[in-house]
Amino acid sequence: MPSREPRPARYPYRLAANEALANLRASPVKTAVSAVVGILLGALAVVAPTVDVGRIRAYNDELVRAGWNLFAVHRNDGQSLDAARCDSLRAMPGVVAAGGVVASRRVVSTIDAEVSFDLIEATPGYAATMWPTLQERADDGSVRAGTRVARRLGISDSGWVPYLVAGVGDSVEVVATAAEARSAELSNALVVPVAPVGGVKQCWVEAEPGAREQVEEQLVGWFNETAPTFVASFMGGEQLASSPADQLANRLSRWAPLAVVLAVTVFQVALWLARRAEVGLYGLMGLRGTRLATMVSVDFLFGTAAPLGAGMFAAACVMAPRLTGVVLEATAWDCLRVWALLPLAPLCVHAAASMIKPFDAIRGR
Amino acid sequence: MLIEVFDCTVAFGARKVLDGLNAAFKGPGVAAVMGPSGSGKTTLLGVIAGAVPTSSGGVRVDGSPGHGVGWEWIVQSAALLNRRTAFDNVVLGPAARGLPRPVATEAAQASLVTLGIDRLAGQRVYKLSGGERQRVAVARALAAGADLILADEPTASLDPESRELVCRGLVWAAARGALVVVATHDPYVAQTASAAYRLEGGRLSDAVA
Repeated sequence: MPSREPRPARYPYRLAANEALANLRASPVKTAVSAVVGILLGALAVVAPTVDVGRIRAYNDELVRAGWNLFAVHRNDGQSLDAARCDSLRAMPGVVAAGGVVASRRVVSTIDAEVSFDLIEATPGYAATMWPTLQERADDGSVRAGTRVARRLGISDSGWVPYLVAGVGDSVEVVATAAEARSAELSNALVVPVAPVGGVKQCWVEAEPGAREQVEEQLVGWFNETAPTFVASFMGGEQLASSPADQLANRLSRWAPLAVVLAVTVFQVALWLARRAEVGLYGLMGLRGTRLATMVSVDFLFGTAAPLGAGMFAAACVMAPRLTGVVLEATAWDCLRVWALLPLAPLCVHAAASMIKPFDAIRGR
Repeated sequence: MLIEVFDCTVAFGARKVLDGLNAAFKGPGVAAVMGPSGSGKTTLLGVIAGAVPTSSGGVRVDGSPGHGVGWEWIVQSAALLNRRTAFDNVVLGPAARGLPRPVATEAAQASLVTLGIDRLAGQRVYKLSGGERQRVAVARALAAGADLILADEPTASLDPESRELVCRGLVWAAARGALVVVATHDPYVAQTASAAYRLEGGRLSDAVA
């Protein structure tokens, strides 16, 4: 039997940790419910920004496809701009594509005399300004056929197009484009890349989404050595309700990390307060201060933090195909915010548990 | 051990529960404090434990100011960890005092045997009867080997067999050197105690035999 010499009445830290784990095991239903809540909240922390930012990205991608970042530079006096100078814009930081039409003429197909189309000679980067999907392939050397002329001539992927111009026959090998061009006129046109010599009526320039203002500013003075110019947006005077950057900054899902941590905190504090008699008993045994913090921390780590992490991981696996670019960046930052704020939860639990008066708690008051 | 409560006044609002109370409890032994409901018996135990603040007066332990250090508390409602086993609850007493696991286990098993509940060691507490739960609470206090045990109505709502076992446990603890202060209505407890007192009007007097 234990001897009667005085023993410390303070609760060992190791016992505090073991008691936390034993209590989790002893209440499987409560532990399971807590785990499910943790998993769901962890999943929410991933799903919310993925869906929200994904929606914003899709909207912005649609804007890009529609030509939101596309500008046309004209001379004030209506004369042509230097084609080489226009072509050199492709090397400007923030520019995705640049080019202009050198010459354009109407021709007739020798396959079907009913079919006439525009044969457009343009600088190498022009096609990419009109068909944004071409930008990904970086192929400036092919002749592009608009969807309507390709359909009329029976070209599905690539083929030769013979034609007559001023009674003289010629032909050109074309690559059919699957998407509609930004300008409807190009649907019935072949665009042939030529060397950037001579002049272009308009110089088309597409900026990267994040460099729109910067490129527009630089375009203003780009041709001013030859003559004053003005820069017009492809989408005219259309104003966006908010810029893509503002949309990201003001997205509703930016509150998800705080909401997750608040939900975890409220749930855990409620669970602990429901156990006030047990907490009071532990308090009478010396489980206070840092020892109570140990018990709360171990309980939180295994009962909440681990399921939260599992929920995040599972959601990330499910949403993996969508977690790219800005979506991945926003989701990763949101998850980091959750982990940075999460210690508030056990701190609040500890504060609430510390306020339980053991003497009253064990007596049911 | 000598626990002295001197000039102790405790008021809850305008109502004085203890009014200039003076008492001396000498251990080892069992001291029963009797009185009607609301007389302040539990409050007196709380003062001794240092859990209830006093308006005046205080507590001395062996002549020095302080509270009942190293005490164990047994309450009427048998505060236990309901989802844990009886053994887990009992071993918690000595383990919380820093005893090594083998020693704590041995103490717990001995207490369970003394209280006649060793066969219930593996049972979860919420499955036990009221008397069995109370015996688990007493066993925990005994296993902890505390110098001071404060028992608040430990035999309330118990059948005669359980009551006897609980009283036997308290006497056993006293025999091992502990001072047991029991707040009770139960005359049987007073009979087993080495000293009995009556708390009335906020003051303590020797109980009438």
